Amino acid sequence: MDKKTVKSELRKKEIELVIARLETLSPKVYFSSGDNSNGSNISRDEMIQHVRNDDAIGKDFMETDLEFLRALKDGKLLNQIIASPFATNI
Amino acid sequence: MPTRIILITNPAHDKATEYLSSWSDGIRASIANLPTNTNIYELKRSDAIKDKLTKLVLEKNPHLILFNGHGGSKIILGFESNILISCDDNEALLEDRIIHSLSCDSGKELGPACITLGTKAFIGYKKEFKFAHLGETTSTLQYNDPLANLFLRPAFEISKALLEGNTVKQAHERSQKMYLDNLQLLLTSPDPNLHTIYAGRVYHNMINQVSLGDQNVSF
Repeated sequence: MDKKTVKSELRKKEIELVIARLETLSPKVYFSSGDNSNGSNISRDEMIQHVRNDDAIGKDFMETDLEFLRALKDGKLLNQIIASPFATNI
Repeated sequence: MPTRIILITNPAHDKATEYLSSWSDGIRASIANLPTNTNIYELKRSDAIKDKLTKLVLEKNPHLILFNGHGGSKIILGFESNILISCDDNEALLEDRIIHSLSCDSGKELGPACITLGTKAFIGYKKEFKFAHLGETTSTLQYNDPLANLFLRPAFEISKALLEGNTVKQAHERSQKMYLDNLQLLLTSPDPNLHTIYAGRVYHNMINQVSLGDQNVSF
């Protein structure tokens, strides 16, 4: 596979991962951020559709989730928690 | 004892700003010992517009302004997303005051610009403020929404701490500690309702909250 194909396949897997995570939430959950035009109140099912379509709202949601998962994976998040003067009992 | 004057904006025109308004009311009501010399002015719903904000700021000269609404990197918005404060326009209105802007992105450019112009302190977010909720329809249910609580309690801890007379630094630290506590809860709880997908958004708000200006001032 060339580099472009690998990147495209990776993106598909990221989308599948985030959708799978969203599907475990209650359908009664809503997400808010930004203004009306870019998604002030979006249901779980609508968010799944945005992620599946890989549109601006879906991309933004994925970026937040993947940023967190990367920080968790590479230890950045744990280091931030440990380094925090507010950390307790970890 | 000098009077402490506060101005709060709550446009409450969509679900996100309704939640912020409900939490603003709930947090105010939860402060047991608000000093008696405190005067609170609120611009709610259609009153949260630039003209009324300008008039109140000039007439009452508030020491602390709490903005709850939408925003952008150079703007804070009011009712139906009309601009309340904008860079290179009227940010001088915030000079010599303590500001908490619970809105997306305004800590990125507007906050630093205000500090340069003489705002005492500006606490806000340099990226979008994100939260999740259960779509409740009344103010009481919104304030008691356990999902919104994960995001909005740490965010409103700033307002609460400032109203109680803490310094900007103490307010920021209290909020950051709450974000961290909620993050640890979401990462370690076996409760399936406390999903790590929320942890990502709590983490996002925690790392993008900024506290600019003089950290030792209080209200």
